Amino acid sequence: MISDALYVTLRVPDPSALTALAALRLMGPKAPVRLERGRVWWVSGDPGAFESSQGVWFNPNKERGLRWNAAGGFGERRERERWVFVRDRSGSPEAGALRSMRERGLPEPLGLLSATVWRLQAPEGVSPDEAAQAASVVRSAFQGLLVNRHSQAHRVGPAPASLTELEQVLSELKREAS
Amino acid sequence: MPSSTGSLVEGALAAASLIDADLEAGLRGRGLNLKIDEARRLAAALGRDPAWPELFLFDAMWSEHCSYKSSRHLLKKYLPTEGAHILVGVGEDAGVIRVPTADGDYAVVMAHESHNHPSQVLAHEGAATGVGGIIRDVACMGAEVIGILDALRFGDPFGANAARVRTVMRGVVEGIAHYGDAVGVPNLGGDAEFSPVYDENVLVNVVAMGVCRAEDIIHSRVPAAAASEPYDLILVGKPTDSSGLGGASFASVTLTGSQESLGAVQLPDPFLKRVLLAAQQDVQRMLKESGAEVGFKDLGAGGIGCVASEIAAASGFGVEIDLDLETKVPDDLPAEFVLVAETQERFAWAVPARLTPEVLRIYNERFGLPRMYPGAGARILGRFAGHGRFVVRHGGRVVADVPNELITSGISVHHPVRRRAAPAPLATPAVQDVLALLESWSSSPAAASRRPIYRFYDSEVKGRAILRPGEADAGMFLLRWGGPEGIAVTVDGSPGPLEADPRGGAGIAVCEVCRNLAATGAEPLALTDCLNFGNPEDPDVMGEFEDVLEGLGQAARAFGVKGGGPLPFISGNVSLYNQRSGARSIPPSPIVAGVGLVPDYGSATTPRLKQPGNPLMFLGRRRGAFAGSWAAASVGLGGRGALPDPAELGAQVRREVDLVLEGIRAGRVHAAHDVAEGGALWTALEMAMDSGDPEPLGIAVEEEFAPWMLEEHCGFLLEVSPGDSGELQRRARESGLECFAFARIIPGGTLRLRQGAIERSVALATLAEARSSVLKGIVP
Amino acid sequence: MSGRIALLRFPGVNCEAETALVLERAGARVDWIQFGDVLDPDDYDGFVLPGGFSYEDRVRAGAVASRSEWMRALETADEAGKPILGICNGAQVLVESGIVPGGPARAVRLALAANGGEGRGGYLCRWVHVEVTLSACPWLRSLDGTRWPVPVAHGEGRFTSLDPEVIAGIETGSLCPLRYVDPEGKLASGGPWDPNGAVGSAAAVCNERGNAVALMPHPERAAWLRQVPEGAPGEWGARRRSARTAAALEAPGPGQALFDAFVHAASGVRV
Repeated sequence: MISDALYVTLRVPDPSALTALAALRLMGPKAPVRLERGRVWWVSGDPGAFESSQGVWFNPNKERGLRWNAAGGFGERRERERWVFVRDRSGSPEAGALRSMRERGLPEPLGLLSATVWRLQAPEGVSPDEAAQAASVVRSAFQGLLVNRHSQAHRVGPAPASLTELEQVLSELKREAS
Repeated sequence: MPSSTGSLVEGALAAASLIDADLEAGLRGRGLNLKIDEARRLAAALGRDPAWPELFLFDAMWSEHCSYKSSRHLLKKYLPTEGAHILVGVGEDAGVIRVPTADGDYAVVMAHESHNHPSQVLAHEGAATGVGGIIRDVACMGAEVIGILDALRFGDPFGANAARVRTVMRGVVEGIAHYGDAVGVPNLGGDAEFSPVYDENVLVNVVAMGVCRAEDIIHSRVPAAAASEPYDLILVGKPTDSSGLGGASFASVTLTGSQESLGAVQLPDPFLKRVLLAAQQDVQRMLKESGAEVGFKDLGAGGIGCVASEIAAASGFGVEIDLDLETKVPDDLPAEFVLVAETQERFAWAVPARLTPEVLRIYNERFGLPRMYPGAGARILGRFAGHGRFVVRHGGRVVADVPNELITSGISVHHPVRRRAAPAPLATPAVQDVLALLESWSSSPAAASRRPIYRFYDSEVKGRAILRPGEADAGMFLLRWGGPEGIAVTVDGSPGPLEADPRGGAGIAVCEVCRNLAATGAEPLALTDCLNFGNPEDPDVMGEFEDVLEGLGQAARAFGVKGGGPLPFISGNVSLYNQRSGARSIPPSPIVAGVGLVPDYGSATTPRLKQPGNPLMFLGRRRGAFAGSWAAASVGLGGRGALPDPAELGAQVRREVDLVLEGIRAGRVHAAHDVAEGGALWTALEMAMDSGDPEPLGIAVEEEFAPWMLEEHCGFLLEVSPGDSGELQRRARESGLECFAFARIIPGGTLRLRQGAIERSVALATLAEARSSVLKGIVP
Repeated sequence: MSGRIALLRFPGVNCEAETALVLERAGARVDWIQFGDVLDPDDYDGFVLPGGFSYEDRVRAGAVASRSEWMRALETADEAGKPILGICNGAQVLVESGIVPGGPARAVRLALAANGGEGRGGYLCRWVHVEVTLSACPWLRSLDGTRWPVPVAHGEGRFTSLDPEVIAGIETGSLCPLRYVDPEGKLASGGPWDPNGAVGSAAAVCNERGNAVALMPHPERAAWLRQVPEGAPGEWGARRRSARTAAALEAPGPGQALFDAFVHAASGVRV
């Protein structure tokens, strides 16, 4: 099965990431040194999906989309980095894109998966997993921020190494969320 | 003064000596839209070649958007702007009227803008920053912003460009909701129309309302006291970044297909705005207690350059600003960009230097602006001066030095105008099956319920709501806590009539605003307008522009205000170049907004029917003018056609409004609705559809169906008690108006009507269900 | 004696002014606590977190504000059993900080998820009906069984949890003082009067002790009769329609009683 993936981030400063990072820094020394928010898309069955349906996935006037490539994934690998994939337990992050494709008369891809991604970089002296854990699931007022597991499913790991791995993470997430 | 024009030539463009082609290439190469003759004119006025920061500044300030160069002389010629109750008229960021109360004079502030081009390119951000901008326009008058309205003109969501149109629609609605909800300003109403003529050029007009005590109004100018003590120019809000570069010029060019502008896009931050507005209250309180006179203005098109020059020039001062004092992102943003970037969420104060530390403390420490957004805060940018020049330093050097007057006096362009002959009257539409017609309307975008749009807007925040979107012909809010006054506000600009007969359609827009206000019980006090048109270099467009202005002015003068004088336009905006390159301009699309006063909001009236057995009276005058109506369009009678003369109509509507208000205040009118799109028949349906609790109400039309029942913009429908109808008819006769029982309110949710010999009925719930499903699934 | 109420002004809240007015009408003395100021829990008898968009709902509604230093003071106040009311965004803060529903170590056991339900996704502003039901909340007991109209305005208002104990507490009553109902009083669940699909049609959830309430609707926008829409069904709509002067419409609306009860409870703490 042919599959492909796209990672979308803002081209301009992301207030959510800035605010989240500031809040994490107030919460303790394990706070990441860098935090980025993005959205990842995975499609199967339509190798041209990202070309034929521009404007569905992101708006180039404010966002940039990075295509998966076999050699380097989504490009730039960062040291000490973890990806926190998040998906709401209600609704469907894919629905909007599917509606846009229908409105444009485009064929729907065989498979389509999406999730929010927080890319965080651990500070020196803190293991990336520890930093990711401290930043993700809210446990109390002073622990965690990025994920409320009562309304959101999540997965933490290094940057996905292959499309298969990405698909696996995203479909696990979808299964858990529903 | 340390400024010296001699050091300015470096890096400048030889505007005086270059041949046209080279000058053109030089300007366009830097992304400027300044015309060649304008650049030469600038060089001549300076007596030297202008430096780049100067060219960027004039590019913005002489743009159509900032200078109104194509329209100013015409606005002046046609629109009434005077009135005894006006505190601030056209010329500042917003208009202000005085409303006397038992607790002293209050000020009602109103501003009206468009954000069309940005919303087409990046719908969410464009619409959101439109809301953000209009809120600043009202806030900078010293008022609390207590509401917004939005007038939207979308393409056809079911037409050839449906996918693109829907994407824009969703973005616009999300953007308005995102900004308005988060900043905490309630939505008071607005309208939405759909037509393929807007497929590639959405119109997003926004109106904002504010309230304060009359004595708390702050003007957008340096006080005269600046002649005797030093006044600082304080900039507040976001650091200057590269977003919104060239926005003013951008709004003045035609969009050119796939390569949409990037840098011109503006980034909304309603969170930061909310903190700014909260801090502003404390700053104003402190300044008021100090007794000092101050000036306040928001930053919009033209950025720092515009605000600094205008706030100084408004009282004949000059200003010296130092861009090294400004926080910039990135640090090395060139001077010309810093000067004109349209970074959002910024205001400028003119305050005595002795109070500057306290202003900075409130914003930066008390409200922690620097912690809300990196680089945000209040900072000194410069000082006002008596020399009347606009001087900019950057990197320790003077990079601009021009007479302030030259920047703000703007320029004027008289484009050729071709006015068309007045159109001929349209034939009366022949309707075979009126129920089938009503059913087809009920599932059309024109008649669709707008709830799927406004459900996303917070209409309750601030707790001042009296009438909300969808409840009545106008929105209404409480003027002051504990007081009885209600302020009603509405927008109008029906596309059908405007396309059929621009002058007549403009008259109708004014009259509809007045009728809408009166239907809620409000006496109209003032208007604002936004004139959305196509390319002014097209003589036909300018012809329509003049037609519309003439119609607006005639109707407003004829309608007038209580106590004498015209109904004034107190603020407004012109948006030109609404077209795609190579495509035709949009049809004339003025939007008129109006504000009115209800002395006791307990008399506020809605279209909701109250009591079975009551007659539904028609009040107005039928003329058989069907041009631009739904009925005409439905039977294929589109295109041009004569509509009532605006002056005649304005005078008629004044007489109607007096009777309606008299009835409402005496408690004799229980429900009121103006006869608008779809004529008396559809108007009656709208009144009945949401009525009744717990049992639904319906209507039985008294006469046999006749085409006049589909004539639009011809009067009111009023519910009165049976015993009061005779008196209303007598008063109407005295006023030269028609008045008769059009229908009777009946129990049960049906419309009963005879066409020919046949008695027919339709369940209102069926029509209501159809109306409510048209836009579902299309908007977010 | 009158209760002294702290009104917590997180950056981005936008309902503080009208909330203060309603509290004052209920007899409270209200202090606006500016973000960045120290909050001493001993200075106050009750705490109100007003609605709005603290930090623009970035990350999740209420998530960032619930990490603030003020939470330590609120925890102390909570331990003392003082009444705490979070309205809309304030409710989201109480939930994200674990104060509601509380429990061991104030673990976060609840979420206010994005509105769900057919055609009901996204932000929704409309009038709904709520009924006060018997719960652990002592200060709402005087309103038990009352049913009234009130507006909601939120995008993330669906109470939900993975914790079966919390779900049971909401569904069976002890944790749920207000539920969405239709105008006749039937549970709104899934029907046209359900604004968001919350478990148990919960409009509010309280902590186990009942002193802290996370409330999604906005009673401060229903505290004057004027604010009730003319078309509101039921008794309050009829009352609204029969009042034809501003003076008559200045009368309390349905939401005032909730603040009266809150302030009454706060005043009692000190006595």
